[in-house]
Amino acid sequence: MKPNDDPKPHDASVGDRRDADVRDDLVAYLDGELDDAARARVEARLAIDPALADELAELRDTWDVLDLDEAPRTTDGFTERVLAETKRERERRWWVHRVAPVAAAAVLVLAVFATFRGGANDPARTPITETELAENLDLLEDLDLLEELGEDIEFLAWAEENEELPW
Amino acid sequence: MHPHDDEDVKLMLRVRDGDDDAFACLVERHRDRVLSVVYRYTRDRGEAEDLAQDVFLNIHRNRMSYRPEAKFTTWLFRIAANRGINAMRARAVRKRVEAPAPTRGDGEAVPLDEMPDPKPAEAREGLERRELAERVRAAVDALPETQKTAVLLNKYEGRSYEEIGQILDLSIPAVKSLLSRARMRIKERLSPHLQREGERVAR
Repeated sequence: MKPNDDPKPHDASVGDRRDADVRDDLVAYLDGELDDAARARVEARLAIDPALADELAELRDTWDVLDLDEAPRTTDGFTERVLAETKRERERRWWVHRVAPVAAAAVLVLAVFATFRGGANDPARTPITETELAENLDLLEDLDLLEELGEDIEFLAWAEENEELPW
Repeated sequence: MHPHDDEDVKLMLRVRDGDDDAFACLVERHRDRVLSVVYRYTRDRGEAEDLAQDVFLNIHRNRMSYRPEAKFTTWLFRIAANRGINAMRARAVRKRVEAPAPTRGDGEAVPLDEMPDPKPAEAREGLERRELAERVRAAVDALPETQKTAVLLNKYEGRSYEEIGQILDLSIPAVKSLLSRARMRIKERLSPHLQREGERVAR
Protein backbone atom coordinates (compact mmCIF):
# COMPACT_ATOMS: atom_id res chain seq x y z
CA MET A 1 0.00 0.00 0.00
CA LYS A 2 1.23 3.43 -0.87
CA PRO A 3 1.73 5.79 2.07
CA ASN A 4 -1.13 8.04 0.96
CA ASP A 5 -3.65 5.38 -0.02
CA ASP A 6 -5.73 5.93 3.10
CA PRO A 7 -5.58 9.59 3.99
CA LYS A 8 -8.66 9.44 6.24
CA PRO A 9 -7.09 9.83 9.70
CA HIS A 10 -4.93 12.70 8.51
CA ASP A 11 -7.89 14.36 6.81
CA ALA A 12 -10.11 13.89 9.87
CA SER A 13 -7.67 15.72 12.11
CA VAL A 14 -7.27 18.47 9.55
CA GLY A 15 -11.06 18.62 9.32
CA ASP A 16 -11.41 18.87 13.11
CA ARG A 17 -8.79 21.55 13.21
CA ARG A 18 -10.51 23.41 10.38
CA ASP A 19 -13.84 23.20 12.25
CA ALA A 20 -12.17 24.50 15.39
CA ASP A 21 -10.59 27.34 13.42
CA VAL A 22 -13.97 28.25 11.90
CA ARG A 23 -15.58 28.25 15.37
CA ASP A 24 -12.74 30.35 16.77
CA ASP A 25 -13.21 32.83 13.93
CA LEU A 26 -16.96 32.86 14.44
CA VAL A 27 -16.59 33.72 18.13
CA ALA A 28 -13.89 36.30 17.42
CA TYR A 29 -16.20 37.75 14.75
CA LEU A 30 -18.94 38.20 17.36
CA ASP A 31 -16.42 39.80 19.69
CA GLY A 32 -15.22 42.21 17.00
CA GLU A 33 -11.71 40.83 17.29
CA LEU A 34 -11.03 39.95 13.62
CA ASP A 35 -9.04 42.06 11.20
CA ASP A 36 -10.72 43.26 8.00
CA ALA A 37 -9.60 40.33 5.84
CA ALA A 38 -10.69 37.65 8.35
CA ARG A 39 -14.00 39.40 8.91
CA ALA A 40 -14.68 39.46 5.16
CA ARG A 41 -13.88 35.73 4.96
CA VAL A 42 -16.34 34.91 7.75
CA GLU A 43 -19.07 37.07 6.23
CA ALA A 44 -18.59 35.47 2.80
CA ARG A 45 -18.94 32.02 4.34
CA LEU A 46 -21.98 33.01 6.41
CA ALA A 47 -23.69 34.18 3.22
CA ILE A 48 -23.52 30.70 1.67
CA ASP A 49 -23.70 28.46 4.74
CA PRO A 50 -27.08 28.62 6.57
CA ALA A 51 -25.92 26.08 9.20
CA LEU A 52 -23.03 28.34 10.10
CA ALA A 53 -25.38 31.32 10.23
CA ASP A 54 -27.63 29.35 12.63
CA GLU A 55 -24.64 28.53 14.79
CA LEU A 56 -23.67 32.18 14.87
CA ALA A 57 -27.19 33.13 15.99
CA GLU A 58 -27.16 30.45 18.68
CA LEU A 59 -23.75 31.57 19.96
CA ARG A 60 -24.97 35.15 20.08
CA ASP A 61 -28.20 34.24 21.92
CA THR A 62 -26.50 32.11 24.56
CA TRP A 63 -23.90 34.85 25.07
CA ASP A 64 -26.60 37.50 25.48
CA VAL A 65 -28.48 35.42 28.04
CA LEU A 66 -25.38 35.54 30.29
CA ASP A 67 -26.60 39.04 31.17
CA LEU A 68 -29.02 37.28 33.54
CA ASP A 69 -26.04 36.43 35.75
CA GLU A 70 -25.98 39.75 37.57
CA ALA A 71 -23.38 40.80 40.12
CA PRO A 72 -24.12 43.01 43.13
CA ARG A 73 -22.65 46.45 43.62
CA THR A 74 -20.35 47.37 46.50
CA THR A 75 -22.07 48.58 49.65
CA ASP A 76 -21.96 52.21 50.83
CA GLY A 77 -18.75 53.16 52.61
CA PHE A 78 -16.62 50.62 50.71
CA THR A 79 -13.95 53.16 49.76
CA GLU A 80 -13.86 54.63 53.28
CA ARG A 81 -13.36 51.15 54.75
CA VAL A 82 -10.49 50.43 52.37
CA LEU A 83 -8.83 53.74 53.23
CA ALA A 84 -9.28 53.16 56.98
CA GLU A 85 -7.65 49.75 56.63
CA THR A 86 -4.67 51.20 54.73
CA LYS A 87 -4.26 53.67 57.60
CA ARG A 88 -4.32 50.85 60.18
CA GLU A 89 -1.79 48.87 58.11
CA ARG A 90 0.49 51.90 57.95
CA GLU A 91 0.34 52.32 61.74
CA ARG A 92 1.02 48.64 62.28
CA ARG A 93 4.05 48.87 59.98
CA TRP A 94 5.32 51.91 61.90
CA TRP A 95 5.23 49.94 65.16
CA VAL A 96 6.86 46.93 63.60
CA HIS A 97 9.70 49.04 62.20
CA ARG A 98 10.30 50.85 65.49
CA VAL A 99 9.66 48.11 68.06
CA ALA A 100 10.99 45.04 66.26
CA PRO A 101 14.71 46.02 66.38
CA VAL A 102 14.43 46.85 70.11
CA ALA A 103 12.64 43.57 70.81
CA ALA A 104 15.23 41.63 68.81
CA ALA A 105 18.05 43.25 70.80
CA ALA A 106 16.29 42.40 74.08
CA VAL A 107 15.85 38.77 73.02
CA LEU A 108 19.53 38.60 72.12
CA VAL A 109 20.60 39.95 75.54
CA LEU A 110 18.31 37.49 77.31
CA ALA A 111 19.61 34.62 75.19
CA VAL A 112 23.24 35.48 76.07
CA PHE A 113 22.32 35.77 79.73
CA ALA A 114 20.45 32.45 79.69
CA THR A 115 23.41 30.75 78.02
CA PHE A 116 25.77 31.89 80.80
CA ARG A 117 23.38 30.92 83.57
CA GLY A 118 22.12 27.67 82.11
CA GLY A 119 25.55 26.46 81.08
CA ALA A 120 26.72 25.93 84.68
CA ASN A 121 23.81 23.61 85.50
CA ASP A 122 23.50 21.87 82.12
CA PRO A 123 23.85 18.12 82.71
CA ALA A 124 24.33 17.58 79.02
CA ARG A 125 27.51 19.63 79.16
CA THR A 126 30.71 17.80 78.16
CA PRO A 127 32.25 16.34 81.35
CA ILE A 128 35.43 18.14 82.36
CA THR A 129 38.65 16.24 82.51
CA GLU A 130 40.84 15.81 85.59
CA THR A 131 43.40 18.21 84.13
CA GLU A 132 40.72 20.89 83.67
CA LEU A 133 39.55 20.28 87.25
CA ALA A 134 43.04 20.80 88.56
CA GLU A 135 43.61 23.95 86.50
CA ASN A 136 40.31 25.54 87.69
CA LEU A 137 40.30 24.34 91.27
CA ASP A 138 40.13 27.89 92.69
CA LEU A 139 37.18 28.66 90.52
CA LEU A 140 35.34 25.51 91.49
CA GLU A 141 35.79 26.24 95.18
CA ASP A 142 33.92 29.53 94.71
CA LEU A 143 31.27 28.03 92.39
CA ASP A 144 28.36 28.42 94.82
CA LEU A 145 29.20 32.05 95.46
CA LEU A 146 29.58 32.78 91.74
CA GLU A 147 26.22 31.19 90.95
CA GLU A 148 24.60 33.33 93.62
CA LEU A 149 26.19 36.45 92.24
CA GLY A 150 25.23 35.39 88.72
CA GLU A 151 21.56 35.90 89.58
CA ASP A 152 22.23 39.57 90.19
CA ILE A 153 22.03 41.34 86.81
CA GLU A 154 23.65 44.51 88.14
CA PHE A 155 26.61 42.53 89.41
CA LEU A 156 26.98 40.77 86.06
CA ALA A 157 26.94 44.07 84.22
CA TRP A 158 29.48 45.57 86.59
CA ALA A 159 31.68 42.50 86.46
CA GLU A 160 31.60 42.38 82.67
CA GLU A 161 32.53 46.07 82.49
CA ASN A 162 35.43 45.59 84.89
CA GLU A 163 36.54 42.28 83.40
CA GLU A 164 36.01 40.60 86.75
CA LEU A 165 34.05 37.62 85.49
CA PRO A 166 36.02 34.41 85.78
CA TRP A 167 34.77 32.96 82.46
CA MET B 1 -2.07 53.24 23.91
CA HIS B 2 1.05 53.95 25.94
CA PRO B 3 0.59 53.00 29.60
CA HIS B 4 1.35 56.56 30.69
CA ASP B 5 -1.67 57.79 28.71
CA ASP B 6 -3.92 55.60 30.87
CA GLU B 7 -5.73 57.78 33.42
CA ASP B 8 -5.52 54.95 35.98
CA VAL B 9 -1.76 54.71 35.50
CA LYS B 10 -1.42 58.43 36.22
CA LEU B 11 -3.44 57.96 39.40
CA MET B 12 -1.40 54.91 40.41
CA LEU B 13 1.85 56.83 39.97
CA ARG B 14 0.47 59.44 42.38
CA VAL B 15 -0.47 56.63 44.79
CA ARG B 16 3.11 55.39 44.57
CA ASP B 17 4.23 58.87 45.63
CA GLY B 18 2.00 58.70 48.70
CA ASP B 19 -1.13 60.48 47.45
CA ASP B 20 -4.09 58.98 49.38
CA ASP B 21 -6.64 61.01 47.41
CA ALA B 22 -5.45 59.38 44.20
CA PHE B 23 -5.85 55.96 45.83
CA ALA B 24 -9.40 56.82 46.93
CA CYS B 25 -10.13 57.87 43.36
CA LEU B 26 -8.83 54.54 41.98
CA VAL B 27 -10.94 52.57 44.45
CA GLU B 28 -14.03 54.59 43.50
CA ARG B 29 -13.41 54.01 39.80
CA HIS B 30 -13.00 50.25 40.04
CA ARG B 31 -14.75 49.02 43.18
CA ASP B 32 -17.82 47.64 41.40
CA ARG B 33 -15.99 45.92 38.58
CA VAL B 34 -13.58 44.25 41.04
CA LEU B 35 -16.56 43.07 43.09
CA SER B 36 -18.24 41.83 39.92
CA VAL B 37 -15.22 39.65 39.08
CA VAL B 38 -14.66 38.14 42.53
CA TYR B 39 -18.39 37.67 43.17
CA ARG B 40 -18.72 35.35 40.18
CA TYR B 41 -16.08 33.09 41.72
CA THR B 42 -17.50 33.04 45.23
CA ARG B 43 -21.26 33.62 44.68
CA ASP B 44 -21.31 35.12 48.18
CA ARG B 45 -21.78 38.86 48.46
CA GLY B 46 -20.12 39.29 51.86
CA GLU B 47 -17.10 37.17 50.99
CA ALA B 48 -16.82 38.90 47.61
CA GLU B 49 -16.78 42.34 49.23
CA ASP B 50 -14.03 41.24 51.63
CA LEU B 51 -12.06 39.92 48.66
CA ALA B 52 -12.58 43.13 46.69
CA GLN B 53 -11.29 45.09 49.69
CA ASP B 54 -8.31 42.75 49.86
CA VAL B 55 -7.54 43.37 46.17
CA PHE B 56 -7.26 47.13 46.78
CA LEU B 57 -5.23 46.65 49.96
CA ASN B 58 -2.86 44.43 48.00
CA ILE B 59 -2.43 47.19 45.43
CA HIS B 60 -1.79 49.73 48.16
CA ARG B 61 0.77 47.46 49.87
CA ASN B 62 2.66 46.98 46.61
CA ARG B 63 2.43 50.57 45.42
CA MET B 64 6.15 51.23 45.87
CA SER B 65 7.07 48.49 43.40
CA TYR B 66 4.51 49.57 40.78
CA ARG B 67 5.94 49.93 37.26
CA PRO B 68 3.56 51.17 34.54
CA GLU B 69 4.36 48.51 31.93
CA ALA B 70 0.75 47.86 30.90
CA LYS B 71 -2.73 49.18 31.55
CA PHE B 72 -3.54 49.51 35.23
CA THR B 73 -6.61 47.30 34.80
CA THR B 74 -4.40 44.45 33.58
CA TRP B 75 -2.71 44.42 36.98
CA LEU B 76 -5.97 45.00 38.83
CA PHE B 77 -7.85 42.17 37.11
CA ARG B 78 -4.94 39.80 37.48
CA ILE B 79 -5.00 40.30 41.24
CA ALA B 80 -8.81 40.10 41.34
CA ALA B 81 -8.89 36.90 39.26
CA ASN B 82 -6.20 35.27 41.42
CA ARG B 83 -8.07 36.16 44.61
CA GLY B 84 -11.31 34.88 43.09
CA ILE B 85 -9.80 31.62 41.90
CA ASN B 86 -8.21 30.95 45.29
CA ALA B 87 -11.51 31.63 47.03
CA MET B 88 -13.34 29.37 44.56
CA ARG B 89 -10.88 26.53 45.21
CA ALA B 90 -11.23 26.95 48.97
CA ARG B 91 -15.02 26.98 48.62
CA ALA B 92 -14.95 23.82 46.49
CA VAL B 93 -12.90 22.02 49.14
CA ARG B 94 -15.30 23.15 51.90
CA LYS B 95 -18.28 22.04 49.82
CA ARG B 96 -16.79 18.59 49.21
CA VAL B 97 -16.24 18.16 52.92
CA GLU B 98 -19.62 19.50 54.02
CA ALA B 99 -22.08 18.14 51.43
CA PRO B 100 -21.17 15.75 48.64
CA ALA B 101 -22.89 16.47 45.28
CA PRO B 102 -25.84 14.28 44.29
CA THR B 103 -24.55 11.17 42.58
CA ARG B 104 -25.91 8.36 40.48
CA GLY B 105 -25.49 4.76 41.59
CA ASP B 106 -22.06 4.66 39.94
CA GLY B 107 -20.91 7.64 42.02
CA GLU B 108 -20.71 10.01 39.06
CA ALA B 109 -22.07 13.53 39.66
CA VAL B 110 -25.52 14.20 38.22
CA PRO B 111 -25.37 16.94 35.56
CA LEU B 112 -27.57 19.96 36.22
CA ASP B 113 -29.68 19.12 33.16
CA GLU B 114 -30.72 15.83 34.71
CA MET B 115 -31.64 17.27 38.07
CA PRO B 116 -35.34 17.70 38.70
CA ASP B 117 -36.68 21.19 38.04
CA PRO B 118 -36.75 23.08 41.35
CA LYS B 119 -40.49 23.95 41.22
CA PRO B 120 -42.14 22.56 38.07
CA ALA B 121 -45.66 23.43 39.23
CA GLU B 122 -44.98 27.13 39.68
CA ALA B 123 -44.46 28.18 36.10
CA ARG B 124 -44.73 31.90 36.57
CA GLU B 125 -42.66 34.14 34.34
CA GLY B 126 -40.60 35.62 37.16
CA LEU B 127 -39.80 32.19 38.47
CA GLU B 128 -38.79 30.93 35.04
CA ARG B 129 -36.54 33.90 34.59
CA ARG B 130 -34.96 33.16 37.95
CA GLU B 131 -34.55 29.55 36.98
CA LEU B 132 -32.94 30.52 33.70
CA ALA B 133 -30.64 32.89 35.58
CA GLU B 134 -29.76 29.97 37.88
CA ARG B 135 -28.95 27.79 34.87
CA VAL B 136 -26.82 30.59 33.39
CA ARG B 137 -24.89 30.84 36.67
CA ALA B 138 -24.46 27.07 36.71
CA ALA B 139 -23.20 27.10 33.11
CA VAL B 140 -20.64 29.82 33.91
CA ASP B 141 -19.57 28.09 37.11
CA ALA B 142 -19.16 24.75 35.34
CA LEU B 143 -16.48 26.16 33.02
CA PRO B 144 -12.88 25.17 33.66
CA GLU B 145 -11.04 27.81 35.69
CA THR B 146 -9.17 29.58 32.88
CA GLN B 147 -12.14 29.52 30.51
CA LYS B 148 -14.30 31.00 33.25
CA THR B 149 -11.81 33.78 33.92
CA ALA B 150 -11.62 34.57 30.20
CA VAL B 151 -15.43 34.69 30.00
CA LEU B 152 -15.73 36.96 33.05
CA LEU B 153 -13.16 39.35 31.66
CA ASN B 154 -14.57 39.32 28.13
CA LYS B 155 -18.31 39.23 28.71
CA TYR B 156 -18.72 41.17 31.95
CA GLU B 157 -15.70 43.47 31.92
CA GLY B 158 -15.44 44.03 28.18
CA ARG B 159 -11.72 43.28 28.06
CA SER B 160 -10.10 42.74 24.66
CA TYR B 161 -8.35 39.48 23.71
CA GLU B 162 -5.04 41.31 24.00
CA GLU B 163 -5.66 42.43 27.57
CA ILE B 164 -7.05 39.03 28.60
CA GLY B 165 -3.85 37.52 27.19
CA GLN B 166 -1.77 39.85 29.35
CA ILE B 167 -3.84 39.07 32.44
CA LEU B 168 -3.69 35.31 31.93
CA ASP B 169 -0.19 35.19 30.40
CA LEU B 170 -1.52 33.77 27.14
CA SER B 171 -1.05 34.63 23.47
CA ILE B 172 -3.94 36.23 21.57
CA PRO B 173 -4.59 33.04 19.50
CA ALA B 174 -4.70 31.06 22.76
CA VAL B 175 -7.28 33.48 24.18
CA LYS B 176 -9.28 33.24 20.96
CA SER B 177 -9.36 29.46 21.19
CA LEU B 178 -10.09 29.53 24.94
CA LEU B 179 -13.09 31.81 24.51
CA SER B 180 -14.34 29.83 21.54
CA ARG B 181 -14.32 26.59 23.58
CA ALA B 182 -15.97 28.37 26.53
CA ARG B 183 -18.74 29.74 24.35
CA MET B 184 -19.37 26.37 22.75
CA ARG B 185 -19.72 24.79 26.20
CA ILE B 186 -22.09 27.52 27.33
CA LYS B 187 -24.11 27.13 24.14
CA GLU B 188 -24.38 23.37 24.64
CA ARG B 189 -25.63 23.82 28.20
CA LEU B 190 -28.01 26.68 27.61
CA SER B 191 -29.40 26.13 24.11
CA PRO B 192 -31.99 23.50 25.18
CA HIS B 193 -33.34 25.85 27.84
CA LEU B 194 -33.46 28.78 25.42
CA GLN B 195 -35.40 26.63 22.94
CA ARG B 196 -37.83 25.64 25.71
CA GLU B 197 -38.20 29.31 26.64
CA GLY B 198 -38.80 30.16 22.95
CA GLU B 199 -41.49 27.46 22.64
CA ARG B 200 -43.19 28.74 25.79
CA VAL B 201 -43.27 32.29 24.45
CA ALA B 202 -44.64 31.03 21.08
CA ARG B 203 -47.56 29.16 22.80
